[in-house]
Amino acid sequence: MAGQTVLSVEALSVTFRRVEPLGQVTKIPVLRRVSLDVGRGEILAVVGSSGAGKSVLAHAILGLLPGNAEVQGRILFRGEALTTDRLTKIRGRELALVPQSVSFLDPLLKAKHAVRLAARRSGLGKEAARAAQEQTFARLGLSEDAGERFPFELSGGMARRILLAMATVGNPSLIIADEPTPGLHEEAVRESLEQLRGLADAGRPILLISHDIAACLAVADRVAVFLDGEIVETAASSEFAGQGSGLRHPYSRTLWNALPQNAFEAEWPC
Amino acid sequence: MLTARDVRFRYSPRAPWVLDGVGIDIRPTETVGLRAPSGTGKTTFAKILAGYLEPSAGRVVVDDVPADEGGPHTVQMVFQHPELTINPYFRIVKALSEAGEEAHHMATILGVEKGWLSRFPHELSCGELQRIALARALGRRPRYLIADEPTAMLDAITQAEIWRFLLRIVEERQIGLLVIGHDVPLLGRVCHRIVGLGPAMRGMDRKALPEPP
Repeated sequence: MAGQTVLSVEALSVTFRRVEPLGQVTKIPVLRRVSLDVGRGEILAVVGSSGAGKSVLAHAILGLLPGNAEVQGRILFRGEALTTDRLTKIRGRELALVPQSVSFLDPLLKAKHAVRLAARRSGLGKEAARAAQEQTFARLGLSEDAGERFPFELSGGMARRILLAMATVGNPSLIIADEPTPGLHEEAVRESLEQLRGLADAGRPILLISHDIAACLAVADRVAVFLDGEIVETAASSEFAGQGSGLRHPYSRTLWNALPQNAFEAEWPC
Repeated sequence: MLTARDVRFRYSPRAPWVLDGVGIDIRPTETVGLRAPSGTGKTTFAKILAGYLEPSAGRVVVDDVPADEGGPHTVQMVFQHPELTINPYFRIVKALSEAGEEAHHMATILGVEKGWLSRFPHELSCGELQRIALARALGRRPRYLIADEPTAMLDAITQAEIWRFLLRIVEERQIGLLVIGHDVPLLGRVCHRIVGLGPAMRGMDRKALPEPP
């Protein structure tokens, strides 16, 4: 299933330092020895409740943690450590983020210009950027008319596709999608996820962060379940079936059974 | 009965209609799901039902009287993003007190812990905040509650937990509940029936759904 490993995270721990009013320093662990890897052509979903550390993981990979964060462990991209220098070079080129909110779109840029700008930032020249934008639009089924619109004129589903176009126009080696589907209606969710699947099938590995486990399972190869900053289990999507008896950790089973299409029960001592 | 008839709405006299002849009937004790594609005016309709917006034409009648006659509005609404509905400078205890003594009682039923009361909204998770928002809305003793995708941003476990509390409360207090959402399995679980956005009589979809737990 997974080809050659592109991203591997080894025993990553992240702690936030907080200075109390009297000068004492408290350390709040948010990630505890997290290990995972994503290979070519694979979608790895990261699921868990809010506050479990999913977004912190994405920020750690992209080097976007705040200054009071202490990081231990290693992040390897194509076998080499992701240092600050290297990150600055490859962020937006080889490493792309599909952000959580459509409010990330520049309200003053027409969609086609936003995508061309992303292409320029990935290192393409002006003409090449235009060509790449047109190709990406064709690939994602975006009309020329959509390119002429400002963000406020785009529907939720279209705005998502523009964000996806921006993330993929520079042909990145890894895509991190942070909650790409909330607030979309069913069809738009399916469409967004199918597009991610298409990108993965074309070889790009994708880290899909979401709390919507039902939507993730439709496209992901494997699912990593987060609980309180730890990965309690990484299971194949196919193991989330029936009553979840194929799942090893009780939390994964509870999460699965809590879905309205399953038992809709929430028996977890939170 | 919460009744809306021929509701039309637009933002200005020349703007296109956001809602063009929409209606609904919700009985007390009934949970109704409202499902329609994004951008078709679900939230606008909800705001009209709850009195946040005046319809440009048509009417909303609650138990045969205007909804805000003497006291709190009898149709309360819970929004999708609780973090945007609570004053960021209020501690939780004050946010609850704003809605009266009853809101504190509701908070206890909804599983709000004592320790949260002294915190500010940004120090709670979305799931915790949504309970506060529900307690505030229910604290006004509404006859009807409109919930606009109340658990769309929550994980499955938190979602199931909030619904367990909420369904118990609306049943005990005979509150009519309108749930707006995209999640078909969820609507099927919690609603007696699901409708689309349209004239109430024609748009109604009375197909059999599983009984809510």
